[in-house]
Amino acid sequence: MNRWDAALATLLLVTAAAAWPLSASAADEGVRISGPRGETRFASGVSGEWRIEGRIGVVVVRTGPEGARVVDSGCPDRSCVRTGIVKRGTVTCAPNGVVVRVGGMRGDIDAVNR
Amino acid sequence: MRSTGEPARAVTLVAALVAAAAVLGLAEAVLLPDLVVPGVRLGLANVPLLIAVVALRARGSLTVALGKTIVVGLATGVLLGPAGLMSAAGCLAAWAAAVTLASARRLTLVGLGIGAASAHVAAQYAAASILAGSTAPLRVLPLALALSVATGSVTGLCAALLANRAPLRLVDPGEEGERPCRTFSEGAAAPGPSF
Repeated sequence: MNRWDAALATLLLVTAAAAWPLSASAADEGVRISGPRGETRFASGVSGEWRIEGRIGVVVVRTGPEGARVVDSGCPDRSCVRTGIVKRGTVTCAPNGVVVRVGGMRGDIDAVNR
Repeated sequence: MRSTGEPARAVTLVAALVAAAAVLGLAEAVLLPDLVVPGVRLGLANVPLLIAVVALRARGSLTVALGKTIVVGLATGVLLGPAGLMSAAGCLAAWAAAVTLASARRLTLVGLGIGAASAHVAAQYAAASILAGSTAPLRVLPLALALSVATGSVTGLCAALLANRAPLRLVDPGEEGERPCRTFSEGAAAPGPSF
């Protein structure tokens, strides 16, 4: 590795660090599941199993007090399934066009006044 | 004078690198888990691509990138689907980044690996974002980008070690010139004795 390699690596790491707040400014409270046919929202901690029809197959999402996870998907890669439980963040099944956003698990909040 | 064996050498090298990239890509998809972030892997298939960029220049290495995408897409059944589009976007971005950085003649194969890996990750997440119709996938891009520096270093180092040991010569398929073949040591982007 020469100094130009090191400069490139440093530049990329600085870029990633600068963009970090964007990834941290995640979401509102609650869970949002969006797919090609629309979007559904509900409070965090609600237990249930949701079947979303994606572009190439059905995506099964299970939610509960512990978070949300994709338990089955018709996509070939299935990295969305391997992501596991997400307590705060996003699970995306890009081939199916399905996005699950979990904005936190603070179940004691019923509403937010602005 | 261009030697008559050079086109055959170029075709053979392209075929060997496509095969190596496809096998490594498939093996990695099946055997190795994602690294912390979904969709981020070591990127071993970039090793043949980096060697192609240095040994075959832009056109030959584009053939390797496209060939790898098509072969892996056919083998996994995702060629014309959304996953195939993401894979193609990542692979072509990695190729474009490696070729652009190689043309600057400042970086070693480790630098090319880092650039290719980061471009691959960025393009793949951008494609995922477009396909999903949401910016949500881009939220993990900073972490994926940071990881790509490490994975790119590993693949670049692998490519450098391989290029230092393999009896390869630079081949310019289809380009006219007095010096159709050069050794790795003549290229600034080639691995130097620092490895």
